[in-house]
Amino acid sequence: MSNRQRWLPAAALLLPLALLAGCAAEPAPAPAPEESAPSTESPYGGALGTPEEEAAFQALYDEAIAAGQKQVVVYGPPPARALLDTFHERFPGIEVTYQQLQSAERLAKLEQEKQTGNFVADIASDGRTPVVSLGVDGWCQPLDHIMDVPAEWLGVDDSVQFQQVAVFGMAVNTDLLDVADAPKSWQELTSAEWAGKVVMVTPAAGGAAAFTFAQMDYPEANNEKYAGIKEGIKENVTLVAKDALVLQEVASGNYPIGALAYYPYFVEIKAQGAPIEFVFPFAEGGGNMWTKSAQCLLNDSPNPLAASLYMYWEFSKEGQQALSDAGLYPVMPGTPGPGGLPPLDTVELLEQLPDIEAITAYGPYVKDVIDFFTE
Amino acid sequence: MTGPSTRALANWDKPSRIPAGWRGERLVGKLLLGLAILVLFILFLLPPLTMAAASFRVGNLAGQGEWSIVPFIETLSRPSTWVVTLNSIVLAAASSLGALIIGTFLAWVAVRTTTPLRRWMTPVMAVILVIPSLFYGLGWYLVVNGKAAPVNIFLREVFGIEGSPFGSGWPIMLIVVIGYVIPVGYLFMVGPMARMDAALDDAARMNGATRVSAFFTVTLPLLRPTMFGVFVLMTSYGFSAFELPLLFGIQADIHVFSTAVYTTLTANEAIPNYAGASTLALILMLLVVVLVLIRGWILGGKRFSTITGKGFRPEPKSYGRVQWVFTAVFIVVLCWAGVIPLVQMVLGSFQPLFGVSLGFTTLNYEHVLGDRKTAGLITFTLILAAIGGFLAATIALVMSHLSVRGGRFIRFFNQAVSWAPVAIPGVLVGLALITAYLPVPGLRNLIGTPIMLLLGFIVVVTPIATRAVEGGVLQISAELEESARISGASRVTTFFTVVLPLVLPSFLAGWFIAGIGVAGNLSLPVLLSSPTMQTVAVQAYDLYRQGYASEAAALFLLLMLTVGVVGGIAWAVVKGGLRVLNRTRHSRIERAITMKGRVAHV
Repeated sequence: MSNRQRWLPAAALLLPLALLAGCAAEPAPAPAPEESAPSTESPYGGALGTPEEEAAFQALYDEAIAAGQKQVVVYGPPPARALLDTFHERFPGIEVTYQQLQSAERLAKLEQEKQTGNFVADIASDGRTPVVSLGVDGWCQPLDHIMDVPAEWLGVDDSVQFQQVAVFGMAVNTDLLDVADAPKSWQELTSAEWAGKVVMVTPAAGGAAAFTFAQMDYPEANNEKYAGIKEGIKENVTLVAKDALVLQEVASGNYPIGALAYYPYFVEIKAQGAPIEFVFPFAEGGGNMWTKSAQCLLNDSPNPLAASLYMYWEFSKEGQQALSDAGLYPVMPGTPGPGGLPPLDTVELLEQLPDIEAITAYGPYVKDVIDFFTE
Repeated sequence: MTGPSTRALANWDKPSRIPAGWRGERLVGKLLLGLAILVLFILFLLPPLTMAAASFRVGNLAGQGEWSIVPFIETLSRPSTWVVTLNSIVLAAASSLGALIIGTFLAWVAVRTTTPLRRWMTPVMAVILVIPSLFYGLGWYLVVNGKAAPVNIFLREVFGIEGSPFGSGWPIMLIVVIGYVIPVGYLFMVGPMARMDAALDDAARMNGATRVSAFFTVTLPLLRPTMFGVFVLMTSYGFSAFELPLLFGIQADIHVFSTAVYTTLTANEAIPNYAGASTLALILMLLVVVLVLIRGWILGGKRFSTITGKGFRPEPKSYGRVQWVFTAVFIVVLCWAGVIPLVQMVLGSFQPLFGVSLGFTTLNYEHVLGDRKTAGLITFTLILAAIGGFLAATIALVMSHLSVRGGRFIRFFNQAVSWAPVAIPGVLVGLALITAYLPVPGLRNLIGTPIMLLLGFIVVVTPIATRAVEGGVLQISAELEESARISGASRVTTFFTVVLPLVLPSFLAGWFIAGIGVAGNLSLPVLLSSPTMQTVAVQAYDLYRQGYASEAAALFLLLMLTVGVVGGIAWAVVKGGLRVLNRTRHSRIERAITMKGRVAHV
């Protein structure tokens, strides 16, 4: 092909790319601040907290609106829809949007925003280890809560908050099995007696299931206590690909029991009329799986006022009640647990390592669990 | 005394030290070509190279941090790595082969026979292709799993077999994966098949070959470039398959490569293992390189021109009553690949809980239609898919044309560009792009904008578009272009009036398939764009993960409906436009001949 022949196709290739680059717009300027509405005393009628706390909430809301902060972007798995609806009703000028970014993808996105200076994310939200890890690595800024949050629910110099706890238990199809006859312990659940009657999400795909068995392996004391359970699961339990399938299989009557069912999902599906009940905790032997959920306000949040309002609101009376309604354990003293489940301090939970130690300690064990279920 | 030299007398200029190829217009051409190569290198080749380098670095971001060989050795020394690799190779190769055979056969039926319903094949396959893998998989899952599954009811009532014997394992996994990719095989093959000269078959028949042997000895060998390209592409993507093997393999303890990549990356939620995941990605890269080399070796040096001059006749022929068998095959494939999962998806969209018989509700549609974001989501997705698919198909066409008519370097470079993105496992592709583009000035500032999203999509789907287009380009005989040039047409005119019309079916197929690839991609919109610019696929997947599978199904069905309506309108417009263009061309030719003083039939 002659040289002259080459430049035409080359130009044809470059033209669309050049057009694309030319169309690249500058980042949109922040919207101009609007006039703030005059604040009133105790405007929420005690729904959020004391009059002083409510006044503080309203002042922060007004300040956020005045600063043009009308959107909060959260990187992490989205919560129950009802939680966001409640917040949006309370503070209609601010919209909270979740983007399903976790682990490596979230870090890559945050790193990209840092390097380009084009900041989008306000909050990182996830399980405790990834968020605590962000706090330790200096991604988060300290919070000064409106509510009086107990110190145990704050971490990494108050830059990380734990606003809720989630639990995992057994979903039982009541058309097929009386709840009273359900297995009482991990040992019983994974025994040959229940072979073919229990369905569970596979630990081979990682996630909470892999993490549960990693915690049974470590610390060492757990290893002895829960010996043989992992093997029993592999031998006797039907493993499926996704969390949602576990409850679907139980609700449709294919299996009487779903193990390691996530309670907030159970609440959603029970509400649709499925003949299922939740069994929590195991009456014998402990090993009840729980996770702390965490959030942090990112250092370079473009909407820090609106974002902190959302995070503070989660600890308000209304926020904690909304979390409870969605099937999560609220952490503020005096707020009842979800759906009649027992208080957590009466349950023999799976022992977990302290927050910072957990960042690195569980990794090798999770990997071993995945390998065990893959080989 | 010396007179003027002969050179001076002859008015002879001293030759320039710059060779002719590096001056004037040719220099501009070379510079443009160099710039195009640089841009393509950064966009297409840098991401897999960065991923490869990331295998040996441990840091906060892929490809950054301390150099280390530990994760590389650790990953490769795990027995599970090789188990999943072998499983994936078997699954990818078997399903690609199966889908390609069935797809090619149906494409042949559609364009070379007069089988009833043949005109419906292409639009039906196009619609099936829009079904997302998640819902395709869930649809089949409900057919073979559980007491209420139709297959299990049949086995129980007729043979007394209890349980879900076909609920998981290799047979169902292969059946489901093959069914999912049959439309891809069909749409890739139908364009080249439609542009193949029937005279070649006739020649074989006249020399004593039967119809069957003519098909196997003439038609199929001539389609080798497209078939091998598509096979390599499907195998590579099959290697990265995630949803379907997960749904049908887990219960039978069959684990695949993409799950391993994902879990290696995220096993420790707080500290992503980029090096381990990238090491696994190297295995896919190696596989792609080997497959491409084999393809080159098999096709090397042979000509595959099937669109020639006057004798070119692609008309279909009647094959008698056996054509009813062809129709039956089409209907079986239609149920297998489309109707069964689609019916489940439609049913699920009207159920309170997907796949569970708890009554009938329109609440899911009310939620989706009541959400003010839905219209924007669908519009944004369609625009992105249309533009991204078109640009990818255009780049694929230009690169394929350059490869055929260009030199060895251009050919090699284009091959590398069109295969490189395939070598990145699907679950890592978003990360690979973001880490590769971040250090590049210009591109870095585009990350987070729709432009970057579009560029990312073009990179990811260009290999798909190339496989659809290159077969069509390879089939065009150089003589046709030479004839046009000899008749006085410029290169541009030749390209637009000879090459483009002949390659149009392949181009349109490439555009459509690439567009579907854009609409269905999950990781790029999340990583390369902003939260306010998401696609239907991302939104639907989020809904599914939150437990609203029925709503996700409703949202996807609305997208499919919109694609159907918009596609139908576009098809009618293109068809009408082509008819007008043809009529205009014929009248111009007749007028030109008449003006020369004689009338001839054209």
